[in-house]
Amino acid sequence: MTRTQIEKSTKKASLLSLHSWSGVVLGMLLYAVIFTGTVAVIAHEIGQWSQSQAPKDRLRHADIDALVRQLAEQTDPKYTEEISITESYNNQLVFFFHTHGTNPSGALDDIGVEYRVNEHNEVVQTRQGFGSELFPTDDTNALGRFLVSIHTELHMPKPWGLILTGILGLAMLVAAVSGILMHRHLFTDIFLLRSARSGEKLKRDAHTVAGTWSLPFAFLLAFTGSFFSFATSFGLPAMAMVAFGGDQKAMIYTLVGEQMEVSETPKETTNLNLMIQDASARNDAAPNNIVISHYNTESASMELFFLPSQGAIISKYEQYNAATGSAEGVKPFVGTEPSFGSLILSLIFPVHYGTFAGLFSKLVWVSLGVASCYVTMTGLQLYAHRRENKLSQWQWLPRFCHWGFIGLPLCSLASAVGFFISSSLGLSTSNWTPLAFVIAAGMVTILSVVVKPITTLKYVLLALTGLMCISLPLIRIALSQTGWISAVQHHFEAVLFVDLSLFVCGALCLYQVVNYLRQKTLSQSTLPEAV
Amino acid sequence: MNRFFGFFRNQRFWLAGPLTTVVSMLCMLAMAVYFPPGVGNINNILMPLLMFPIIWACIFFYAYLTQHLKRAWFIIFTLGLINLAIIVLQFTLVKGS
Amino acid sequence: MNHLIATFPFIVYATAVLILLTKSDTRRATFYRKIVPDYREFRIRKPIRMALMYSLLVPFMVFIVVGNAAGFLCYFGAITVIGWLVAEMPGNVI
Repeated sequence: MTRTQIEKSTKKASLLSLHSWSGVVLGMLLYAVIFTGTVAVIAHEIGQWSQSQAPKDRLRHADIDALVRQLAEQTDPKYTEEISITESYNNQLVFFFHTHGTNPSGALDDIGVEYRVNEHNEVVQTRQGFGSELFPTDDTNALGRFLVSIHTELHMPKPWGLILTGILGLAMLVAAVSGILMHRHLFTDIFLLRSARSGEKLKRDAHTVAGTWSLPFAFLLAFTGSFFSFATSFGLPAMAMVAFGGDQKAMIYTLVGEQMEVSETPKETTNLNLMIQDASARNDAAPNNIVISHYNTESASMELFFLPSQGAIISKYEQYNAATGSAEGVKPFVGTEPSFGSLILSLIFPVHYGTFAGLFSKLVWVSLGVASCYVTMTGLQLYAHRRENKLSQWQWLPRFCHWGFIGLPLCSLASAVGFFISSSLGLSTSNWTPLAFVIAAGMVTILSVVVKPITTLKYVLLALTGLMCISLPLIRIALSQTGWISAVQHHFEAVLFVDLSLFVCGALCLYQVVNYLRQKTLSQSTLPEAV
Repeated sequence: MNRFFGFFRNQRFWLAGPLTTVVSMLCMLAMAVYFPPGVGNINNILMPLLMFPIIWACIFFYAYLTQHLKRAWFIIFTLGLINLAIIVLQFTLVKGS
Repeated sequence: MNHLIATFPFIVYATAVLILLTKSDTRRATFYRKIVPDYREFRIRKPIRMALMYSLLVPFMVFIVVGNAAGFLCYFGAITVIGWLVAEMPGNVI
């Protein structure tokens, strides 16, 4: 061997070791983040599905102007500094009149009053407090929020959860880059999946083929994901320290593009409905949310957020001078002037979220997520398989794989069951959704310890997941009375999409179980003859 | 125990692990000083944040794969020092003004 | 939905090309010839295979020229998933 050959083989061995260890140490957490990230792509649809109420675009059609005037009269004037308006998944309009302050934990936060207005324009709920307390207890979005929070911060306290998911993003980046560098026939093996004599796919091929195909997106998602985590956990405050001498407020003003000098001279804000109609007509859509700043003053402004329109991938902020009612054009994603940084940031969102072309792009992004989950699963299983028969201290790994890989989807489904049952009993869904997940996780852990044969454990968990997938749409229909015919009549695609996806997943799980049982029966019936 | 914690005695672990993390953070922070802020005055905040994962990955793979450990120590350490100096200078200038 | 409908024919084309490329892959044929009885080989000359492979990049240019950014990203995502799924098909299917 020449010196260069030795160096090459040493490098390859080091890369393999890096690739394996980044997978083994963080693989299960990475799987959790990727799996829930896949679910998070359709978080909006899950929110609508969990409430079974077809969206009515009330932000476009309701009399927002009258409602804001009426609510502003009964609210402490200091909270009219900013009013955010959104539509909840149960078709209520949510008005949050707030100002900016510091919460008990010392972080910058919104503080104010939240009103929920039903379809008859009646205030059905009023809550007061910090934004960080009000949003996590919104019962209408408890299911979507719970699943998304696993993806973003693994339900760990701030900022540690974000730092951990950032590290996981970097681990994914390391695994992707080391995967490219160490594989000699990366692109020539792209179509070949060999199988063993038993017909089972070779784990190594399954891992490399799926890994190679999903490589560009694995790289993109890992990079954008670690940016989101690190930027929000320590990046922004640290940059504020250097660029603004620690003044986080000044940095937020620069990034959000807010006016630093505001005139508080009273001036009646013009009709909000006219501005909403104008922006909606120009974008041919209902706004996603609306923010009114300095209501009834000379500096009053209004911002309407729209998801990307036909063929575009960038979301839009339409800005209005609410004191005069004149349109001020599209505001950059970040800052007050168009910039390269703002453009890149506005591109990162659609690339990471896949929310730029309705259900079509979401379906593609979910598939990419499934492919990435598959790569993580086969990678860890490959590592477990190679050590299964050799070293006794690795015997736990295949069991751990089944516990995590099938257990997490099962527990997520259980959290949805918890959501529906608690919602129908009038209990707090914000408490019962995570609790159902924890109870299911406990049961899966007990099962994983108690059921000794590893194959039986796998198929028991798969059967439970399949049954849960199929029963969830039935539970939803039974509790909400919104069936498929009604969903079709009201163009309620989200319900059909989630219900059908669950049926397909359930059928796939049960097919595998039935196939296994059939093969087991066959082998048992042929065994006496062989003897 | 040695089997699991032996990497603590490995020089490459300290180079590609803690030092790389600290130096890439310093690079990100120092970029806030010298990166052109642009018309919107935000490029110097956003671009370093966006580039952090890439900076980290570049330094990490260099540190992990290099055959010349001493040279790598020198290069990464110097890179860290230069960026630290830029940050310190920025703070002194801000305080001075 | 027009920009998405415009994306659809390209995705169908990419699927067809990926099936052809998979079916005519020599390494795959060498392996499946041994284990699948009556494995039907399908050969495409290397230059044509290369041309087919590069033709997968043409839609990207079309999307750039037309300014269909959503189509560009959807097509990019779709070919990676379809490529994986087609490669996953056993030798007696493709």
